[in-house]
Amino acid sequence: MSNLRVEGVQTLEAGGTYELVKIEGVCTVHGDIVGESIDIDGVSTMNGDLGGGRLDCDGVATINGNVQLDDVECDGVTTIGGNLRAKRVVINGVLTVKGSRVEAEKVLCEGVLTVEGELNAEVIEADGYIMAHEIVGERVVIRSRTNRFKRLFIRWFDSKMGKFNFIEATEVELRKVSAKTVHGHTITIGPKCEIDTVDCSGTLHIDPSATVGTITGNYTLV
Amino acid sequence: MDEEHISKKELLEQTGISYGQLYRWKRERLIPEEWFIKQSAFTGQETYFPREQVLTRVQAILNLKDTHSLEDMSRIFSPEPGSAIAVADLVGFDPLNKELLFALGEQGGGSTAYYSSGEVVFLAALSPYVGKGGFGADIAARLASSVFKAAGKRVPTSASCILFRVGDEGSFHVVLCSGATSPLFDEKVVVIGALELARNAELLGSYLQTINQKA
Repeated sequence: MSNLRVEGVQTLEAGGTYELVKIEGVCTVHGDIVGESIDIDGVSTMNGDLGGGRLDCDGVATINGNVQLDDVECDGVTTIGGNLRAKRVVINGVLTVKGSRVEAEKVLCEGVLTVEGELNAEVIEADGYIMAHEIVGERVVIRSRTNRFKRLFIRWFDSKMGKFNFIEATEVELRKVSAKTVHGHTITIGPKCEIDTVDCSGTLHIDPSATVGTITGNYTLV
Repeated sequence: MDEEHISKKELLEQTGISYGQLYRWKRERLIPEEWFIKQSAFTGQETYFPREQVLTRVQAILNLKDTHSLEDMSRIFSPEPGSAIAVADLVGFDPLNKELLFALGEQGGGSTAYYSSGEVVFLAALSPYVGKGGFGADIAARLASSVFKAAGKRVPTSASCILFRVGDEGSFHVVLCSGATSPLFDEKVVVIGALELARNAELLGSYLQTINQKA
């Protein structure tokens, strides 16, 4: 298998299967790419689907297509025009997914994650900023907190992030999150949460500083 | 929602599965996305499923989950609609009416060598109706051929599909709609039956696994 290396400023038709894809310059790549290891340190626009093993983005990447990889690590700024499917997604930078869904076994977010549709993962752990229309899975832990991002963009983040339409998982743990609906079996509504409706089928804990509207289900308050 | 549908809450209670399992199976395409029908409710949002289809599917998954991996089950329940299957490999696939397959090949409406799994699922679901009430193999083959032209190779296997006739002596047609909802027809339309696409997709998935293992 060959490698694809892009340095300098280039526009190329480079659809194909590669062992290593390394983009260090400024480039526009047309065509579907499958790569065992994809590193983006420069500024890249990819017009096509991206598949394969691992994507490590330290630069700025716009992928106008669907992404299906084992591992996605985003330390830079990545925008995906389609859907994202991966085993593991780690976000320390900014990742925006404009498609209808993100599917993963594990999502760890210490940066900023925006999903315009449904985020469905076995485990979702977010200490950074996360915004999605719906979050569903086995275990969802969202602890919004003040960090370097918030100091930079305090008003914008406050108005946009940590607000959800719908969260549903077997185990849900939230802190400083606003949501219309939270459904789950074991639910912890932590400090400063604002939830309109909670439906719980197991144990429910609500912090005294949280605001919760309607509570339904067969639950035990702890 | 009507009796044909079941709420997510009721589904979880009846089957004993968790939210996590449900969404894992959705992620792995064991339960088609089209079966998740969202509606607003007093609890904020409720999701409904086609009752019979989802209960059958969940039971089938529960029966297999201890002996099969998620990947294996995914291949059984949602064989890639575009993947090619050799006609020679379809000889042992019992739900498929071979007369229909032959008629399709004769008319040039299908391939002589390969069909996509979506096409095979459609043909297998159509098979129980072939030879009944004037719906001969030739007519069924012409209908299948026109569906394949309309849908390309990717005949959806999780959609609702109704076989109907326009008037008692009229021509036969099918309508495919996503979302597992049944369409309403005017009174001049004679509904013949609902094609069991999802069930036949499962049967094809199991069959393909068996012949792959033998190979």
